[in-house]
Amino acid sequence: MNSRRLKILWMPLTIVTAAATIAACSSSSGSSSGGGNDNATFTTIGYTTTITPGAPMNPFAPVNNIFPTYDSMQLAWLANNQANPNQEVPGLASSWTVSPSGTSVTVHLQPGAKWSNGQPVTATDVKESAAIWIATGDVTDLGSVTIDNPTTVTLNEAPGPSANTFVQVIGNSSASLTQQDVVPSSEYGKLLPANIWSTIAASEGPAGAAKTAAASALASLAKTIEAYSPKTDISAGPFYIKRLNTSQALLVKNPDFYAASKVHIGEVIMEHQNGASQITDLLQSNTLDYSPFTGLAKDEENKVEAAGNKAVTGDGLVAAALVFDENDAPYNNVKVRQALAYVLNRPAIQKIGEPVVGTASSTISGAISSTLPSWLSSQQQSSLNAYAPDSATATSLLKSAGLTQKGGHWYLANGKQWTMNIPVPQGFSDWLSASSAIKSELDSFGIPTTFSVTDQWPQYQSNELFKGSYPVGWWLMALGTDPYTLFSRIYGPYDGYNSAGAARLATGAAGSDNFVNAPATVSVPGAGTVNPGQLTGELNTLNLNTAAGLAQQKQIGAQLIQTINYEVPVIQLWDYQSLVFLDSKRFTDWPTDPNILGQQPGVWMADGYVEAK
Amino acid sequence: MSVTAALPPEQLQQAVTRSRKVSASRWRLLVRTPGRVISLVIVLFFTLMAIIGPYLYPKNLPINSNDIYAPPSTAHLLGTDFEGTDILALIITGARYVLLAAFIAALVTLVIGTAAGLFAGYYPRSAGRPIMRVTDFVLAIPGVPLLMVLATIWSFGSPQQMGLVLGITGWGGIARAVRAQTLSLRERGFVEAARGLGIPGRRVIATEILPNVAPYVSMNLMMQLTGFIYTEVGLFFLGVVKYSSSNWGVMLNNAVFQADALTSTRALSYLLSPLICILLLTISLVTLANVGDEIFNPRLRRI
Amino acid sequence: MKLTRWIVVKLITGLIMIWVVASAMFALLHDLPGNPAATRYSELVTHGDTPQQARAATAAMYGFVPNQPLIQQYGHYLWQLLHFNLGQSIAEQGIPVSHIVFDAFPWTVILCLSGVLASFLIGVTLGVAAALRRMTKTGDGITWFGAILNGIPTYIIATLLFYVFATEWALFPQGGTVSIQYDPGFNAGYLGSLVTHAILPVIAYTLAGVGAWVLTTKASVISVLGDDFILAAELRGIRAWTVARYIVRNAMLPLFTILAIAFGLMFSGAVFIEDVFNYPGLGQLMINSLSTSDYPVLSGAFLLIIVAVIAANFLADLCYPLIDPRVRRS
Repeated sequence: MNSRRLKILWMPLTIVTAAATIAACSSSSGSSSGGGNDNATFTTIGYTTTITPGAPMNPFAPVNNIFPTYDSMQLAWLANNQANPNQEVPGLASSWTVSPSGTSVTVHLQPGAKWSNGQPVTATDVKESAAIWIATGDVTDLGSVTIDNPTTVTLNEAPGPSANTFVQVIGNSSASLTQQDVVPSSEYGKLLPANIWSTIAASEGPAGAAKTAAASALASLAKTIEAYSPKTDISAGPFYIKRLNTSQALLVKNPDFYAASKVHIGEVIMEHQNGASQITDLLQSNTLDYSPFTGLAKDEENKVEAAGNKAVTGDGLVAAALVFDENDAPYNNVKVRQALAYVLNRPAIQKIGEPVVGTASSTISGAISSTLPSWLSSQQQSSLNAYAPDSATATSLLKSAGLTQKGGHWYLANGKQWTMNIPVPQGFSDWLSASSAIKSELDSFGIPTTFSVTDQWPQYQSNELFKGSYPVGWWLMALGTDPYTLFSRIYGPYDGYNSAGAARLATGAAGSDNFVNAPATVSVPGAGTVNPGQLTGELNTLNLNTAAGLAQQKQIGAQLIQTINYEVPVIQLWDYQSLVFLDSKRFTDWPTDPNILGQQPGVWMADGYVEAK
Repeated sequence: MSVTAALPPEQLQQAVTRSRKVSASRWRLLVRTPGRVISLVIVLFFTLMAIIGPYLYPKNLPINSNDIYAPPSTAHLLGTDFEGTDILALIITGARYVLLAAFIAALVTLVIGTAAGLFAGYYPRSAGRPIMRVTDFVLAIPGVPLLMVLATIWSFGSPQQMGLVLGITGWGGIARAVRAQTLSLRERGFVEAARGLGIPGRRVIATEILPNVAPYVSMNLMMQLTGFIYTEVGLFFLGVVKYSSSNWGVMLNNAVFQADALTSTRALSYLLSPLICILLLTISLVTLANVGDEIFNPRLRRI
Repeated sequence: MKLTRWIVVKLITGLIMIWVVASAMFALLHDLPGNPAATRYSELVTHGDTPQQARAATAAMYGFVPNQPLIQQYGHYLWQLLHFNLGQSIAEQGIPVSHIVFDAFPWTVILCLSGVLASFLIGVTLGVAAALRRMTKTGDGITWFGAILNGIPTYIIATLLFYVFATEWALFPQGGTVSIQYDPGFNAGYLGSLVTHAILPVIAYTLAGVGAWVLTTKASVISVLGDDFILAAELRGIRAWTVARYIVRNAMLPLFTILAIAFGLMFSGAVFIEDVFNYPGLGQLMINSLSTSDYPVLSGAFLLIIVAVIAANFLADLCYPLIDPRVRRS
């Protein structure tokens, strides 16, 4: 197996940090405090920063040179606040209001917002960007955009049942809209046909020839947009790209940025991400002023801190798990899955796999262990099965499931020996180490196990896992703060359901990502018969503006947790902690507000934080 | 060994026997300095380790999550790795892959390289040209990039496969050297005499030339062995080949890239153990190969 | 006349070798598990592309169209190759492979050339010294130094250098070819940055190669020592220094042949050294493309390496008669 290439550790998700806290930091003001050098050079590296000379400076290109928060701006940045999933930090939008019906949002742009070519950022820019979001399929719930005045724009939901993914546009959570880049009309407007909005309306209209034609027109438009390569970087953010090579990109301060006077950094050097050990080395040699997530051994952390770096910790808001394809024997039997949960020693696996930035999951729940109290009463919590390692229970469960044990090995009901292979997507070194520990535990329990490195995460998902290639595989779950996103990692699209919890697709069907194949209904002891896919979909369509809606959200969450705990579609192994480092030797005035601290440094700088000592 | 072409067959035979007696003086060369004796002992020690090592431990080495990256102690003489497995056990069981792959590679090289070199040297015009074209081609292709390309279609999971690929891509040097030797032997009296007697070329190669290039080949092979060990360990170090069990190269990779052994002291033993084994083995092989150089280049000897 | 013919033969041999490797790369792209080109094609079709669009996209990426007859695909591939069209990258979608590999190529050449030449000069000097003083402690010391350096794999030397001089005692940068802060061009900052980025990799190269040169040179010089013409010169009472020059000049000749081979071998070292020092040359490119399964880039980089090696060998062959008068005469 290919244990190297720690390269893109959490490439798909960019571990979201919640409630980040800085270790013993001086108080900071966030306002311009004078002194210091406003032309300081700040060096950093992103989780997924790969710099590709020749790739377009176009955020919609699949491979691009764009650095969010530095040279590309969204309307707002999600705060990832567990207590309030709706909270966001303003970006290009200074404020916004949601209509009472929850179907439209009026956005006021930052006064004085300008592109780095000196042109103002206008409502037209937002409207045309929105058309691009819809065409590229990044946003699905948006129907139309109205320009109220040059700096105010209203986004209207697409016709049909109102989804929380829209209401949450700017008011709520990890939904898509605010996570999109606003691009200049001067560059991208020429790519859009005049009839773009009528095409969009047709594509969102009733089924028929017009809808199909509109959808294919949008698809080919998306290709044109993705291939577009602007000649220079036109940024509405605090910086713009001056030049780049294979290893670094140089971003310089954008004098036209709306809050340029608050920015104390003259240039930002973005290093090309080469691997986890690179981050450690850069921190040790004091080259990096902000590091992305790093898992360090204790003595390394001490060394890094001795070099003048400060640690920032927070919840990772994602967990690592083994996931089953319940179409495949013997994993189609709930007792087998439960038995495996008893066999695997989760704390031992976490200690080997992710000893520093992981905490072993206290139980199998589908949610991060620390968030359980927000879903369940203490009585409900204690009624969850903790699946403490217990091979006697596992053995009796397997026997009652019809498996037999001969000569220390397990045999399926059809007489075949039970063996397991665990595929590990390339680059996930922690999963690889953990797989080695799992193999050892299963081997000694009598299930000969192997593990093998597969393609990288995106290919692992779409070409292999989603096609039903693996009875057991690695999975990232319990993602983010939004309840629908959280549970949809198990009973959402990956179980074949659409975002409303209906229209279930089978594994292998066109457009299907279903590989979980959980039963449509599960009878959960103590919770009755539940339909997990439908419940998960309901989380997306609840009216959260009412107390009843909020209560129902909590009740559904509790039901789903109990279902997952009983049905064991996944074996949740550990929750991630976030750990990043700041260079406190060269810079000062770091943000302390956890909602800001959890963002990328571009947001800090735009808000006036970070100043050279 | 200046044998004239007029020598009768019996005397010719004697001359060849005399040449074989030289091996006694070769042995003296080998054991003359303590460094060479130690090198020989080291090579034999690791060979033994590769042969019996895996039988000393269970197939799946035990892990212990409460004892990861433990420092050396009486329980774990070299400490433990990222999953609490004894590093000494990993070294001993991991020797087989490294040595077996290198051995198989050497064997393949020996067979292809010697055969190609002998025929190319003995028939410089007919067989020689095409063989040397191919040899030049094989020599021109840089080994590591080639192996990386092959890694896309070939699994290096077993030492046999690794050895085979290393051997097939690495015989050029030996072929060239053997050809040069054969070309010069071909003009020697005893070979010309044998040819003059009408002995078929294949037999002359087998009975007259092969015995004379054999020691040369074996010493050359020793250098090749170190090259094979570097390369296979290097491929694991780079993390570009898939593997199914641990070996020294995998340990190095894990130590440097996973345990950050260079910045963290916890994995020092994890890094140093395979490293020292590899260095001991390769330096010993280089030292032994020097003996070969001295045999063929007596002026190199310190008299 | 003879020389022209010889050059033509060498050129044709080189071209045949390149053709063989190119064909092998074609076969490789075809026979990879799952046939990446065909997979890409079916992926595009399932994502809603029309077969025509998918064919065009796949052809652009791999240089051949997956569902044509094999021989046509092969012809297409070679034709594109003649136009330096190596297809498009998979990982860095839409970017031509030739762009990527030619970006990386000069950095590898800079490292390799300076590393090989430095190790040649240092190694030969030390080797000559070791041979001439072979009965002294100095000679023994140099020989040991050479043997030990020869026994340490490149990647270990590189890793240690990186650790000591780029991390623990951060005198040199940890990767890249030049700091982005300097304006590219002939200015002290930019050139200085180029040098500081290249210095550790070049030292690693030099150390990795120097051991073999010491040992080979020593053996070569010693084998010349007892030759008749040297003895004659000594007997005639020619000054020791002059005799040494005779010896060295004659001992050098076989070394130049090896130097030509070393230029080929250096690309193997490049893989390790560029990996350790994050130096974005062809070696690192190959590693990255292997780990991202970017086969067009992998095969493009390999082809370029082969062409470079064959060209280097050709040049070395051309130069050899200039160095060795005996070859010129025959």
